[in-house]
Amino acid sequence: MTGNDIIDLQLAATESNWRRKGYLEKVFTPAEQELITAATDPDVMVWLLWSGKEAAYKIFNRVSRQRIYAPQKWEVTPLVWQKDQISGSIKGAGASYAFSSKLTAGYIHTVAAVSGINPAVLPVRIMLAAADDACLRHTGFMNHQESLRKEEGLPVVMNRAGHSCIASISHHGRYWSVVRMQQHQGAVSIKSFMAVTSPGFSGSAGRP
Amino acid sequence: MQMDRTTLLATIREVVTPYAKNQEALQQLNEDTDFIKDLKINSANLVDVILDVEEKFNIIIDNESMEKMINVKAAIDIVESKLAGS
Repeated sequence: MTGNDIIDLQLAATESNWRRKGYLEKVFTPAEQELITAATDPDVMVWLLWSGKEAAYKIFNRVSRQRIYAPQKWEVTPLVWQKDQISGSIKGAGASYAFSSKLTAGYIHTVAAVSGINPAVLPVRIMLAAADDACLRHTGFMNHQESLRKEEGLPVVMNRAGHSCIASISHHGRYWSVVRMQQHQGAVSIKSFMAVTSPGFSGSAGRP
Repeated sequence: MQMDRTTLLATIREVVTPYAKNQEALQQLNEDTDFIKDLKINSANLVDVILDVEEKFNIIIDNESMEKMINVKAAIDIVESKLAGS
């Protein structure tokens, strides 16, 4: 199981004022607040930790089918920071996940995965896109041989053989991100695959 | 401080207005309105909604109550119970 989260740093800077009184205390654990205080770039630290919480929540939500708003429930601990790649652990709600994040000038993207799965090796696509569903139907995984759809309201990536695997979608500002598990499992009808790969969804930019 | 649910709903509407991205859902705001799914409030802005609600009503929303703050009904229930002093 995996969950991911992308944060458009430009939008986050204007949309959220985490320096507001009481904000950090509502969202972050005492250990996380210390990391933010000590950080050379506190904005990056805030959004790194936040993206970890969101990615972990997506796993929790998918497994438990529960919706809650409890950012403090998950504690994010960055362990290795190499240039623009960060990895570490997330603990909370009785579970422990590994995470892997990528930092660019434009965004922070974090992938979390359950134990036994290395989040850094899961296939990821980041898209600069107009925010609509049609552009997401083609995620570009595997040379456009796969498409994205929803099963019971939750995202899966399906290949041409009609096999699907669990996926996670995130959207913020200018960015969409999709991550999927490595193995396809469970045959789904080829017809439903074709339905989402019909010409209407071929997704070339600029077409009406 | 005694307030009926209609008054509370109006105050919640005022609080969420700057953060709501779906204006249509905001127009039709009711107790079933979901902050994230309907109003499309960014999850990082839901903290602002909670802080604003605390300030408006002079209450403290603990973590346990905050967990449930995903729709208007839950927000009104929480404010009502805090104002009642529980």
